[in-house]
Amino acid sequence: MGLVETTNELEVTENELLKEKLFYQRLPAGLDVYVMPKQDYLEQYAIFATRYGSIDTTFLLPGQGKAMSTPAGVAHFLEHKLFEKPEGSIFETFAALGASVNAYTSYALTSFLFSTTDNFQECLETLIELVQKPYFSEASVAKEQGIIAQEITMYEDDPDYQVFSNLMQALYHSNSVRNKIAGTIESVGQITPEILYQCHSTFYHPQNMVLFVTGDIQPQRVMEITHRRLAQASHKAQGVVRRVYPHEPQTVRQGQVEIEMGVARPICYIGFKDAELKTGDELMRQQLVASLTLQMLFGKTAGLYNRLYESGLIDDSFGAYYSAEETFAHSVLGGATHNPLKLREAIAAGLREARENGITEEEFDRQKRKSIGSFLYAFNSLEFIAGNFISAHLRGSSLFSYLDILQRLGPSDVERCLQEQFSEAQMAVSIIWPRA
Amino acid sequence: MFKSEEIAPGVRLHFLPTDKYKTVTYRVYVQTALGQAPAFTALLPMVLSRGSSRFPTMQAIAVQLAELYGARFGCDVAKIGERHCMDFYFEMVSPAYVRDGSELLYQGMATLLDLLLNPRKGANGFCSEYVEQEKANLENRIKGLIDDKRSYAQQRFLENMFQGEPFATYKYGTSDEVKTATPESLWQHYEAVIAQSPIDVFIVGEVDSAAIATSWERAIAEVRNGYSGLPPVHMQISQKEVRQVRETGDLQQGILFMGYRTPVTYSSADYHKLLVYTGVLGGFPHSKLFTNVRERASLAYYVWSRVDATKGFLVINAGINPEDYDEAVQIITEQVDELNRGAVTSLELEKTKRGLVSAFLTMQDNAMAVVDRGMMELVNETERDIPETLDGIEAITIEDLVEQGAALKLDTIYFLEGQPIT
Repeated sequence: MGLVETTNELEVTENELLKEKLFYQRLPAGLDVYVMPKQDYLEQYAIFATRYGSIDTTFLLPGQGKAMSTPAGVAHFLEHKLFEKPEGSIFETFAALGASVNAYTSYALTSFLFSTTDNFQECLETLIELVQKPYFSEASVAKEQGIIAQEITMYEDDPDYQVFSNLMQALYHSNSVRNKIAGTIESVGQITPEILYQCHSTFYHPQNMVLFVTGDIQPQRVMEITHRRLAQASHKAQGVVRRVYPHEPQTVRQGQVEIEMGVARPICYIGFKDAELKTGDELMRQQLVASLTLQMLFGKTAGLYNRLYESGLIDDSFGAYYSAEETFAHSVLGGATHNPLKLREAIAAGLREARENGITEEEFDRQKRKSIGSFLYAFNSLEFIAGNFISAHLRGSSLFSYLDILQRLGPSDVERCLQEQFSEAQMAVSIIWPRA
Repeated sequence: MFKSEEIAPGVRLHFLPTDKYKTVTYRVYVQTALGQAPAFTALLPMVLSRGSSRFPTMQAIAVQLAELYGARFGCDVAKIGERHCMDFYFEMVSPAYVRDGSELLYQGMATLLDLLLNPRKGANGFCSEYVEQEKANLENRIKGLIDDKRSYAQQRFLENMFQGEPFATYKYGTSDEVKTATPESLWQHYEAVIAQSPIDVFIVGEVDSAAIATSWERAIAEVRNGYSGLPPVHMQISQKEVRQVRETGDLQQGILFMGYRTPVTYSSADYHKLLVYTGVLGGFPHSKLFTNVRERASLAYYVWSRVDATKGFLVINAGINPEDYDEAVQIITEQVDELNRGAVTSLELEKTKRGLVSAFLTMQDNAMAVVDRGMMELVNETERDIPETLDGIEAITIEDLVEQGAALKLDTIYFLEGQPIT
């Protein structure tokens, strides 16, 4: 992190390694707004996100004592439905401006974004309107139920999605990460306009949101446009929304889950549940340590990966990653294989061996170097910067801290992760067998 | 625009100097004629990425790439019209961002050259274990196409629409052909394509182009021998009746493809008519297909149309409930008919132009997309700069769309649906 200065009330952070500047202001409505100028880019990209995802199904409204429970899939449904306004679809408004608009819902957040090369101000105003002005009717909810049923059915036919989803069901007892983000056809059928209005007013308050803009754009202008638009809506300050998450035991729920699908070869995913949950910079640090550990154990530089590949047990579909939010954390590894049970054994044996041998400093340094490079590469993409910036921010951390946190890690961090995580007691396996 | 130079017969370097990106990107395309030994062409990059003379194992390659700040090396094959191209990709951090950047950049290029031009050899051709293992991987990949139902349906659609043409070829070939590969026969294929095929090397980023050209020239001179051009790209076969194919598979959602032939390609003067036509029909969320099939009739989550400008066809794709097949085909056909009649508002046309212009300009921010386009232009032997493209889009009228519609001919309707599970 470089110098911090203030110009026109905007806070500026400069990252010397990235050669990028970040401008920040909290607007009176309570919204955090960030701008990272990218002068030589033709594209302008904005993302407006709320800390509300598929896992937030039960919550207490500010000032109320009774928790409200909603069907699985409301966050995603709400994301779809915000595109519809009394005068028609907001897709049309963006199209007329020459911009493309999109949105996605994850476990922990919902994000709305546009990409444009022209009419930036109108696009930003439309984005704010899209998110802040809900309009739901019985008829439009019924219509959306048909569309989302097709989206859910599309995922039902996707073996990679199914093997992952089954793994979440095996790793967790009651955590809502078990639910599919879009919900089920049944749960989506229970959604009404009232539920949507209630969730919107709860989670789409500017205080619960963040706006990030990048491209060839003046930071001050972004602040002015946004402030003007939000001031029109005159939001009252909102108390804190309390989210209720079910108690989750540390153990895995089920060691192995298997189904059959129309696939050519079995697919096998292995998950390790990490019971230690973190927030803010600690969460980012935990993520970095676990990712480095996985790279060292299961990446292409690892002996284990090469042995498994050469024996034909894995191919280039094999991958490993770590995923964590404030309410869950796990590693997932796997891919297609001709023998899932043998792969499971080989991975367990490989892990035992790695724990005995420990890691070398040389390999640690190499992987750290690789991670620095990968982060720099990612800064070519406005989409990557924006998406990762808002998710780090809504977890109470900053994408601009990434390299600092990475630089401070040492081999002992990875060694501890290796010894403490990846125990067989915390492991679950999800297998898809070709249909007999 | 790329600055191109020919460093040997059929071998060209294309430079795009810019400090916009934090990386330097290399893409190397080796062209072959589509349909001639496709599985061998697909197998080659897989075997090359297993080991070279300096980096004999996959692990040695991975260690070297990690040392270069996690340089990325990847390869695949792509069908571009009637060409089957090996596509090698190498990206590393730009010298401006790390210590000893220039030295690293040089090492990166040397690594890439070694991987491409000095493969690890065995007693007879390629290292035999690598060939055997990658044959198994390639066969698995071919058989595994069925795992991804949309890709599978798309390939079955192409096989039906382009029956009897090279374009029906699956880019990874067939299992039967893979089985015939030996370390020796694959080596012969390698020597032939490296010596004689067109090779195009794209380099995007801040580099010393003279030094790079010298290194490539020297390395390529050793392997080049008897360059021969490839057969012409275009081939149109007109089919009289619409082909309707319904197949069943192990899936729940039905996947619909509708293919239209057009004589227009990227090299035609009429190219932008086809581009805008496809956009109005199904390129965007404001387009006819999305607003009618999805938003009005609630039949699909995804529905779009796209054009293959090198081969010259338009394709529509939707995921629908099998019971809605008739209704979906009817609505889609109605939308095409409306467009062909010129039932397009000036606002629809305007939105599509804005969307196409914005998508085109946005692409300029992405090095990979810029190279993809550069390669497409090379194969089509047609160059259009940014203003030409923008003007081309802006000039299109509703009459142009009607004219383009008259030139389109429905060729194949393909539907993959699930069998009821009893």
